[in-house]
Amino acid sequence: MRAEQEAEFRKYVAARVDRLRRFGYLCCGDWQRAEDAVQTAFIKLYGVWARRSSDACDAYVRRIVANALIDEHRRGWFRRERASDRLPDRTVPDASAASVETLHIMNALARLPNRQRAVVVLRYWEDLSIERTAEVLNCSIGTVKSQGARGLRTLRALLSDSMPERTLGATS
Amino acid sequence: MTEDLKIMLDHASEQSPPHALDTDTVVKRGRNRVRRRGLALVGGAALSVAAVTAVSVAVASSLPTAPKAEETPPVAAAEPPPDYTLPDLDPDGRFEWNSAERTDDATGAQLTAALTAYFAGHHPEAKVARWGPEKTDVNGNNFSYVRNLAELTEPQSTFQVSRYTNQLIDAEVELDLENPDLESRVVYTAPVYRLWNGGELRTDVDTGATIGRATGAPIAFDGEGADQLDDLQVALFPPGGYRTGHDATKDSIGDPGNGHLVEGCDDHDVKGHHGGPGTEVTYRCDELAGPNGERITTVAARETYKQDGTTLALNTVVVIRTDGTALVVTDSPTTGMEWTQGSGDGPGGPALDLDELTELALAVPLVSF
Repeated sequence: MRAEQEAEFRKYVAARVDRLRRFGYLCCGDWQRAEDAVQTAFIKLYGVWARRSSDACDAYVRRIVANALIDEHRRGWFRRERASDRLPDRTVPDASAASVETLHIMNALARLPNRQRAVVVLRYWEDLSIERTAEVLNCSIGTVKSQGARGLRTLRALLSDSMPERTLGATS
Repeated sequence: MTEDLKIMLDHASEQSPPHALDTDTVVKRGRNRVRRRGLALVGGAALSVAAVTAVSVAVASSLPTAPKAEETPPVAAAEPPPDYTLPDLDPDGRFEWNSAERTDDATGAQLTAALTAYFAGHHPEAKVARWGPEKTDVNGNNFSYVRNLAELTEPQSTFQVSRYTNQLIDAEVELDLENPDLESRVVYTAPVYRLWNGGELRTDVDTGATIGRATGAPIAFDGEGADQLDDLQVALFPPGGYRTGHDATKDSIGDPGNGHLVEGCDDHDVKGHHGGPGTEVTYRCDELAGPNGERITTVAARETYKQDGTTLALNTVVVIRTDGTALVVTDSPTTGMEWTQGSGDGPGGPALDLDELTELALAVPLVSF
């Protein structure tokens, strides 16, 4: 990669890292795993940076992050949750600093199946269209629609229970 | 709700701990990765050349010599019918169906005519819908009614049966997202006829490669103004191009894999994430014989979220026909409709019950692939 391309890559990473970490966190509820997935995505992006299409980079890294986290959910729970004598060496957010609302929404998100959760985050936090969401998750438009509808419905039910003041008067 | 949700998600992810992601490390590991891939490609190419050479030598030495002039050339035999038999699949593997290229042909038109004739006689009020900008349902999805199903007399883009290239994908093969080689995951290819609603070709954002196509059609069985759309799927598999029985994978309903046409019939729980209650999946399966010796399997699948009792219902009928083809029809209430609390059998459940789905399946004529 030429020096100017690498400089552009570094700029891109610096500009996107926070947003992508937040995206990953909303998809999995764990800042450390989100960060790992984002780092993996950037490393892969480096390999294709020279022949990238400028408007496809965001979709590309989002897809890698989402798939890494979905895949981890699907196949690797035993790896993540194996018992150990050692305390994990990782940064954990201070729960006391989190608002009650944050705890409620993250608990509710955690109840969603992984793909539904990713659809909800992509559609309603990232504001992606149904088509772009389908591209990121490599699934059909129909799946995005149905998973999004299910996810919203479940969230609505959960949040109505835990935060009635926030959602009872809300409309679709 | 969605605006509130966006704000809540925004707040929830604002309080991030400082990150340890270092751009220098990313660049260094990115360079190493590129270098490793380069070495692997060179090594792979060298091996390929050696393999091709070896195969060429072996093939050349086994080629028969040219026939002598006085020998009578063999008479060309009639072309045997194509063999669509599935290969043996690794019992521990994970294989998923994928619908690829779509074309229109006379057989598809014949199947379309049979379906529209069925609806004209049984559901003259039903309308085929298409996702579009004209109306918005309770969850913000756009759709528009198009026209009465009963009025459809010839194939057109909103309700027709098409011939697809049906693939079985090895889902365990890791896809390199930098250079997605989708074909490397295909373990089986055969034609299949499927209902189509005009969905666009889906392509990979990076490579432009086709990654599948939408199938099925949203139907308002109660006509315009109906408060429910159903996702109707119809698929006709060639002889040998499927596995009988059901997929034992303990997963969500509606996505049979490993060469099967239907999941079930073993009830099971799907574990929830983070200790959540998960879902309960139940099946009601039945087997019966058709009027012409068809073997019919009916499956009523229900997936219930234990947290709130919401249920997704999916009715499936599989008919193994006398010519060895398999017709699969499924019906489920689709997106945007209010979910039914409880069994999923009441309002909000599939519009077509198992008896009617069976009747629909038996109305589809035998055709040749």
